[in-house]
This record gives sequence, structure tokens and C-alpha cells, in this order.
Amino acid sequence: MNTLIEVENLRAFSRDNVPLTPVVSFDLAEGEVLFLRGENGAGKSTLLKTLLGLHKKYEGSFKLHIPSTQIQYLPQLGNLHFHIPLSLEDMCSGPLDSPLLQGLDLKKPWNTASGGERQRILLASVLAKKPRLIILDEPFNHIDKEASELLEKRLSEYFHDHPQSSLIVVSHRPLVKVWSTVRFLEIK
Amino acid sequence: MTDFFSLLQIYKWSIPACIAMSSALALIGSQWTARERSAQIFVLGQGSSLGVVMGLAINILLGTDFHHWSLGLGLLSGWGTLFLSDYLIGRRSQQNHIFLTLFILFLALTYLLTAITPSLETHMASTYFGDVAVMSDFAARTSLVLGILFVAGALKYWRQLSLTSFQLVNHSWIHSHAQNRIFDLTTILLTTLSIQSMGYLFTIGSLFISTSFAAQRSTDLKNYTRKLLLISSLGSLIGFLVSLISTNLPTVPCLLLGQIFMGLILFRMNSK
Repeated sequence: MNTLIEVENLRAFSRDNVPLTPVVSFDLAEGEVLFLRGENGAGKSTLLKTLLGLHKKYEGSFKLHIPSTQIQYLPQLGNLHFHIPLSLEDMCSGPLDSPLLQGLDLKKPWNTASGGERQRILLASVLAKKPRLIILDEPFNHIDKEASELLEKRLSEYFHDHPQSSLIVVSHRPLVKVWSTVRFLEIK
Repeated sequence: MTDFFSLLQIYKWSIPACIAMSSALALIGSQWTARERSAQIFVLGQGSSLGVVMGLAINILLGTDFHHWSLGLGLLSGWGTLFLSDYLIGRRSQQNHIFLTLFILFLALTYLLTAITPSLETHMASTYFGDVAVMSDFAARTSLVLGILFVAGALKYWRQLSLTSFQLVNHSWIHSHAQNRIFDLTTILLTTLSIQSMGYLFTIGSLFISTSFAAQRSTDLKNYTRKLLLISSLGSLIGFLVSLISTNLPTVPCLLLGQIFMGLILFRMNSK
């Protein structure tokens, strides 16, 4: 199996040189799921941002073996009010017949949609790009049980259909579906 | 009536130029506001103004009449402002105080330059408050062509551009696209050209008035964009015509009040 990402003794720092994450090393091969666990403030999101090039101050090294265009990232879903009044349909950059979109009123404005509706739209757009590596930061936050089960089901179907793709996920909610290869990494 | 038509003949390039430029600026302002960077574009405008005034000062000091100095220095100064503000804010969440500091810095430098250069005050006033009525045919035709080209290009990629703005504000922007760099560069080009030809007030007003009204009660991107272009183009046209009918009224405030008037009409229509 090809390795998609290699991380060696990586540690992120703030501008004032305060450590934001512990020292972390791991490899991720294609088809694998890496589940990052840890307390609030342990540095899980910062670690993801460092790997994505969004946080620049770090020690150690990491190497991506795929072009960045094959990576898709969904950050934590905040209560974002977007100035341009997009509808859910405007937001969706994939096919509108995606199973994730079934039952959604796509004419609904993004700014009044629920967390679950927003996350379904964003995830459908991410999966439509058929990425090799998906990075999700708390994808099940702010959404109800039914919606989070639907998201996880669709994710597991995607990885079943695309065995060369991998997933890094940060979540406080444990995975409930059966995944073939899940590895856990404690961030503390 | 004959006078009115003869005035229309005089301003045959200025009127469509203002309509095209205000529409282009409205589209630009909409995306920068969506990126929560409206203060940055405000500073960029002031930075470009400084460059334009520097060009005027050079012309006065050298005794030349080479207007490309203003445009060239305005572009350079606009690009420098964007680069400097991007660098200074980095990923800070609190940005407005930095933008305001930069704005004050550029304003102070512009005033300093005006004070030490003889006879620059009149030119500076027209740079700030507008020169639409005496805009040369060449400047009007350039603004018209570039404005139309920008509107056509931006509308072609409008949804993509809006989704990029969403990703930038949602902090999920991880891929750099040439389209976005082109958007930054055309922002500098059109903003500077507009400041040089039509003034700072018209430029900043056109950037933000339409989007402030159009974003209210719009249902989707198509509806919003239609309103945005209606407010900017029809508002500018109404304002220009009013200033021609009543020749005592200055043109730029009429253009901006025309846009606000159109915005209020659409707002009222949507509230019913």
C-alpha cells in the first residue's frame, strides 16, 4: 500500500513559541482511517492545520506524497453567516442526486439552514471531488444523531468505493459504523 | 430639452463608463465584503489614492502632463498596500485596528505630500471627491471597456468566486487558484483606475453601497447578483441624469445617492 503522508516528530508552536501540540509521528497509507482523539485544547485542529499548510510555525517534518489538489478539508462547522445570500443549491459543487442531499430543500438559504443540512452539503461537495485524502475536523458537531449517522454512513460507503482514499478525522463522537482499517492516535 | 440632449452628447462616454465601472466595483466589493475584508479594500483605496497623488505631484514638480504617472504609481501603491496589509494581518482574528492604522498612515502621507507640493490641493480634492464631469474621453472609454470586460469575466466565474470567498472566510481554503490571484490583480487595477478617473468617493461608494442593500432579503445567488447590478447600474444612471438636469448638483454625490435610492426601492419591494 502506498503511503500518502509521513509525519515525523511534528510539533506546532504559536507566534510566541508556545507549544500548541505534543510531538507527533505517524504514517498514513491509502485506504486507512486515522482517528485523532484528545481533550479540548490538546492541539488536534492545529495539527490538521499544520499538515494543510494553514499553520506555518512548527518543528519536525511531514511529507505529503500526493498533490494538494487531491486533498479536501472540512474545518469545524461554526455558526457562519455568509454575506452573500447563497442557497444550499448554490453551495453544492457536486451532483445534486448525491444520497447525502436526498430530502433536503435545496432552495433553502445557507444562512438559515441547520448544522446538519450545512454539513451534508459541504460533505457532498467534498466527496464529489473524489479526493485521495479527506481531512475532517469535528464533522459531527452541531448536528443531530440522525444526520451524523447519515454522514458516517455516506463516508464509509465512499471509502468502500474508493479503496485508495484515506481519511483523517478529529471527533469527540466515536465512529459507530464498522470501518475496515481505523487507527487511533491520542493527542495529549 | 435641447440643452439636456447636448449635455448627453458631451457625456456620451462618461455615462456608460460610470455605469460599467460602478457595476464592476459592486461585484468586487461584494466578494471582499463576503471575505470579511471590506476594511482592507478601504485601505487599498487609500493606498492607491496616495500613489495617484504622488503621480500628480511628480507632474507638477517636473512641469509635465504625463497622466500615466498617476495610474502607474497608483497601481504600484495599491499592490504594495494589499501586500503589506496581507503580511501584517497574517492569520490574526482582530484585523480592523491594523487596517485603520494603515488607513491613517496613508491619509497622513497624502496630506503631507499635498502640503509640501505647491498647487496640489485642487488636484487632491478632485482625486477624493471625483472628477466625473471633467473626465477625459480616453479615461472614460478605458473605464468603460475594462468595466465591461470585468463584469463579463466575473459573471462567468461568479459562483466559483463566491464559493472561494466562502472557503476563505470558513478557513477551509487550502488550494491556491490562479482565478483568485487574477481577482486580486483586477481589484487593484479597477480600483486604481476608478480612483484616478472618477475619484475615491465614487470608488468606495460603488464598492459597498450595492452589496449592502442587495444582501438584504435575497434568496439565492442569482437573485442577489441581479439586485447588485440593478442598484449599481440603474442607480448610477439615475444619479447622472439628475446631475445633468440640475446642473448645480455635483455629479459624484448624485451617482452615489442614485445607488442608495435604487437600493431603498429594491429593499422596499422585497419587504412587501
